[in-house]
Amino acid sequence: MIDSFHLHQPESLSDALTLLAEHSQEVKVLAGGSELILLLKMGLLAAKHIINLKKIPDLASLDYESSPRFLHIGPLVTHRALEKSEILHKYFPLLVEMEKQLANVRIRNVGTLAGNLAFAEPHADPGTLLVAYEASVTLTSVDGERTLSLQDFFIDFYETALASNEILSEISIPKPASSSKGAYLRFCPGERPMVGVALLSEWNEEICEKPRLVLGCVGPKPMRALELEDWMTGRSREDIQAEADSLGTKAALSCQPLEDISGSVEYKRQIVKTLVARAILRLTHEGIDHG
Amino acid sequence: MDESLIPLRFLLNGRECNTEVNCNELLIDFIRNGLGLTGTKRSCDMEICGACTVLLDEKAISSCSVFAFEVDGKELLTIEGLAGREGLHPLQQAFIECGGFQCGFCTPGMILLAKSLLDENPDPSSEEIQDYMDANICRCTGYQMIIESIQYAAKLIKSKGA
Repeated sequence: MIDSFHLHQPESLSDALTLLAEHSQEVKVLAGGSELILLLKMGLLAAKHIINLKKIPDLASLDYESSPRFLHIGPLVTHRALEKSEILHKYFPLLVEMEKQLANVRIRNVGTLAGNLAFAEPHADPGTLLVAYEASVTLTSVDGERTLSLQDFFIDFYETALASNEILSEISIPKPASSSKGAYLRFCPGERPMVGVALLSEWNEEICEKPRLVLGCVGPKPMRALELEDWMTGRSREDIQAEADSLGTKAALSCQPLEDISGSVEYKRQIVKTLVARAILRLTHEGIDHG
Repeated sequence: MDESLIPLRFLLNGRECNTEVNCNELLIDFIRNGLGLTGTKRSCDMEICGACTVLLDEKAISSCSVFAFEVDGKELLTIEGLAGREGLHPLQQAFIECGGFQCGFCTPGMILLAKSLLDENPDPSSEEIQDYMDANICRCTGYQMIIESIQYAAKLIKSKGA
């Protein structure tokens, strides 16, 4: 049983922000609710006020067209809306592939991408891939807005840069270059991934440019393997492919997974190694998939 | 008047329903206790098992983890609303004929999830069924017959439509 609260159902973002500023210490924002309601039920969170964003239709906007450089995703866009979007099937196939695998269809029908990021559960799929896409988030309060890279938005286990008077009002993902390729691989024996690996890069002929390798679920937040990215930059497809296994081993040693119910540290490192090697093989395959 | 009471106006299994609900009430409790419809089952209580599946505006959701006030202005379908005047829904018929349940506890959720699948994709392959139905758990592990039931229901629906 969830303790009673005051429900607010504002019809504009500015009204929502005013309410949030008024009650900022005892208030929770409801978008999809698939994470929030679980925590309220378990008593891990308490709220005297809940602000339901669902009466603000503008916040459900999924906008590929307006900006030449970015895909913009509003905070009410569900996982399922992303999975079913025809334009994303065409231009963000990897994002669609990740969304299709996420949790189950009931959760995808309700849960939002923004809610998933704001919850910052380290065992989640979207953060890993979106850090590789170099996505950013816009945080809005009555005082104005600021934009942070997703990498900087994530701070620690279940902790983000979102202040108590702010709403995550938009996610922006740079549109991949036409030579972009990528892979998102995960190992998920239960409901949440044990390990996730995202790898994206551009190709100048046979030369790898701007690689982004992200290890997810094996630390407090998705982590870029910068040393390996440096090594890959400027190398040929053939050279990188030949080193897939050793790069996997290096990635495995670079992360700090926690031992938990899903596996030991050694076991998780083994999975990281395998997934990184497979992601490299996929990235270095011939053909273009626009990341 | 208690300010935590929220007025609700929605379609319940095809019929208009006007009532009110406490804002902290979960949809599953509202359905089972408020509406007296006990076909919707509570099991894991954390959006994993699917026993509490209902369709809200034709989308499958876990009623254990949604507030009841969210049905306002929408269409709610529970297992009680599936059979029509002409008798059982083809999915119900198919589950009976193919032995798609054992203890039956997961069945309301399985059938409603299967309905949302067939509404989206009237002719799913066995793989597509497995992929979609992966969302719900049958603890008797009668999955093969559930898949066969859904394949058979797809045929029944097609032959009815023809």
